[in-house]
Amino acid sequence: MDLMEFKTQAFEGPIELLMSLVQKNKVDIYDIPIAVITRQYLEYLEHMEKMDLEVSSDFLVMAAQLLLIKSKMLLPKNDNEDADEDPREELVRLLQEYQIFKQAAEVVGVRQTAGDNIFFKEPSYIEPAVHDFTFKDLDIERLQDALANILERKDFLAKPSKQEFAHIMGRQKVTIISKMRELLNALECGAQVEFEEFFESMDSRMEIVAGFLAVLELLRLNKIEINRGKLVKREEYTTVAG
Amino acid sequence: MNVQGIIEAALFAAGDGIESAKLAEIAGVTPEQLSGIIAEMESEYGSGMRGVKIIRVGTKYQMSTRDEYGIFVSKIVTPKIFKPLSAAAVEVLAIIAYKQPVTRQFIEKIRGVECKFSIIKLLERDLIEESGRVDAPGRPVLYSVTECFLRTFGLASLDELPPLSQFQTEALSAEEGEMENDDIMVNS
Repeated sequence: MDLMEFKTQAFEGPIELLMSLVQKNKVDIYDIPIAVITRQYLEYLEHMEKMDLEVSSDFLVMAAQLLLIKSKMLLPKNDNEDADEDPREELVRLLQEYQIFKQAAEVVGVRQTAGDNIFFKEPSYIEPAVHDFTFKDLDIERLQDALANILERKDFLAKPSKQEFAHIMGRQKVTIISKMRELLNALECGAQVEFEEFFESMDSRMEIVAGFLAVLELLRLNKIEINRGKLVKREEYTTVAG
Repeated sequence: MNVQGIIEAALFAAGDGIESAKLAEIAGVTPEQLSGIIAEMESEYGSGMRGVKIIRVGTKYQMSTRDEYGIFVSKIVTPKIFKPLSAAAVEVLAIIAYKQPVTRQFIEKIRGVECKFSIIKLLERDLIEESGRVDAPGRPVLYSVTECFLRTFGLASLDELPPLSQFQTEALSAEEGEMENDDIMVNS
């Protein structure tokens, strides 16, 4: 046996090494000369160590198993045990299974380029169809309705008028000055204005407050006076005379 | 409406495989009728040396280009080129293909060596996938081959692989063969 050549070979695992030893020795896996194989197996591990190769624990576990089998076979057969039981049984099963899958791998392996010459298309992206719209029962009335709808909607979208906003815009700004001017103008034309009449046209709280303050301010400035519930413009002459 | 036309159009548009049950439903035929119709289409495609063919991938049907035209197709489509799998990876793949779903521990027991790296490689190539977990301590992952495996290895299903028993008989000695015969006689 060409041991040197054999020893340069690297084995992936203990079963592969064991299988090689069985094949090298040309022995039947069902009748492994366990002493010979165990010795060669251990020699190989020693060789690996000498070559500074890391002997993984898997190899050591197998070595221990081989030694156990070897020792069991040296012991005299115990009558209580099943006569058929061979300590090598587990080993045989391992090697057998390994061999089966080695062959299976060969068959599978040759197929790895089988699909190389065929090509597939990416899935087509098709726009999802709109199912609830058909032109089938479309007539002139529906078109008119559609147009009316659009116009109505356009009306809604148009800028709302100022009046529509009046209720929303609660804080309309009313100045006291503007109310003072308004009152003086009214007195200019009609000489006298009923106190309540002045507030009649006002519809916001803000405006009424401003109007009231305007009346007070004009009284303070001696521009107007109140005569029996009527607002009257104070005569110019009084100031002139003063 | 032509049933073959429906099937052809659906397979073309889908690109991916279509479940045979779904395809039968679309075409308005029974799954049994479907396989007959597709076999018919396939023989027509074949005899006409058409550019496409229909393949079965597991429970799906898929349209692909015909092998003979591969060299022409590869001039416009760059095929993905993979390095051949290592011997170890092929062994792991074979064990999964024959025994799926299996755990890494199962594979390692058969091969007597760690195979984490091979599994990672095979997962990367989308040839195997995690198909579940064992309801046992540590909940180990189960691996199975993928549809991509079937396509890559030119298989319609795993049944197309030669049965393991074929290798078994080759590996078995005459002694074991006799035992098998005895078993058969007892059974009959």
